[in-house]
Amino acid sequence: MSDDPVAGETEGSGATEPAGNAPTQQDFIKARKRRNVMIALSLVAFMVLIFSITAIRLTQNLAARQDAVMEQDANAPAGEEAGYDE
Amino acid sequence: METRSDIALTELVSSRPAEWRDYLSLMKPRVMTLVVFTAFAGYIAAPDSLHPVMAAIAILALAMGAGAAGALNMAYDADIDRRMRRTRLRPVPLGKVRQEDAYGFGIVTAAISIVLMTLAANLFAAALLAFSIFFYAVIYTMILKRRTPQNIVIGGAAGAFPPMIGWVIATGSVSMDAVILFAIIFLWTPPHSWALALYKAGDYADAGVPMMPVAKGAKRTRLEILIYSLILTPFALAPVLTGLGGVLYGLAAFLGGAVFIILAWRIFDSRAGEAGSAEEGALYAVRAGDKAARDLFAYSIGYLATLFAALIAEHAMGAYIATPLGGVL
Repeated sequence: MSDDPVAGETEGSGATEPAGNAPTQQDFIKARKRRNVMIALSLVAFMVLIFSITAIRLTQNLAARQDAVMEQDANAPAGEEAGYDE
Repeated sequence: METRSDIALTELVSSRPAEWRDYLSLMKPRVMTLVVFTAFAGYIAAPDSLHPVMAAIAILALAMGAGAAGALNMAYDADIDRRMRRTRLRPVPLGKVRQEDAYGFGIVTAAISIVLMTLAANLFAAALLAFSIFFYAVIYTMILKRRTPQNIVIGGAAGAFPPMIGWVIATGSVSMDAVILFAIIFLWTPPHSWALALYKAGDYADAGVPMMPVAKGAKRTRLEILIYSLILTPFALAPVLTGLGGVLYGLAAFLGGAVFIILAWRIFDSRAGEAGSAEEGALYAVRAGDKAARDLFAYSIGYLATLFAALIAEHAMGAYIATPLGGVL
């Protein structure tokens, strides 16, 4: 018994030969392959989106932190430097 | 009534294996286009903005959310879609996509859209998106649609959320202007949907959906269309009072609203929706008596698109011209 659900649908039915406009087993396999390709592309697109969001958030947060440190330095009394607690 | 060619077409199409395009059509691409358009208008009209890439991802998430709601709607409504001429070639009634697959697709897409919205914009926008999907798929589709002729009035809120979400994407909060944009679409939905329902009443009656013309009759529907039009068109001028819209928007709302009222009056004064329908003709063919309804249905789409296009043009091009009334409220 095949593990292929598509093959399973037609097993024993003899439906592998085209009959008029009826779709063949090959048509179902091709359609499934096209669907799988679209799922793969969607997953890649999702990863790209998440990566883009992460990169932009990191850039924005680093810039904001740099601005905050510079502002703190500018407001600090002479001779003192702002920094992070160690 | 199905013609022989309709049956042949249905049999031919349903015998084909499901393609990715069938899943795309589950998402109601034309509705998604309108959602993106109105959401972009809400975003660009807002006083703040996001990084352009983040904004694009947020709008994409909103489109996906709308698509997910559409897929859930098609999954649940497969039985009545099968009985309606306008909807019987959808993937689920045709048997190309199984009902459970449509549910699964809708739920997964909704989850992804909400996650993306949270990451790209903010939690408030994501919560509004989640609520709008729930509102459309559960409140409207599963509860209201088959129970009350007011289905489209209350359910119209789901379609009114996008510009408000667009605003929240940019600002992280809701303001009076965002509520006004919501209300414009909310008030626009009943005359728009009932105009269609008037000349497709037979379709809805066959499916047992109590749209206004089916439940209350054509005369009452024509009156309600006129009443909603008389409320909508002056209200559409509200953005001019708050300063959200400028001269261009004001002109579009005023002139467009005048035409809207004229067409609504023509429906009121006609016999649109009376006895019989155009079921034998082409999909959107209408009898002479229903022409007024068809005209308003078609025009209402252009009217809404023009209002939001005017907002986008004013804010995007920086050609915003304050009116003497600007910022009164």
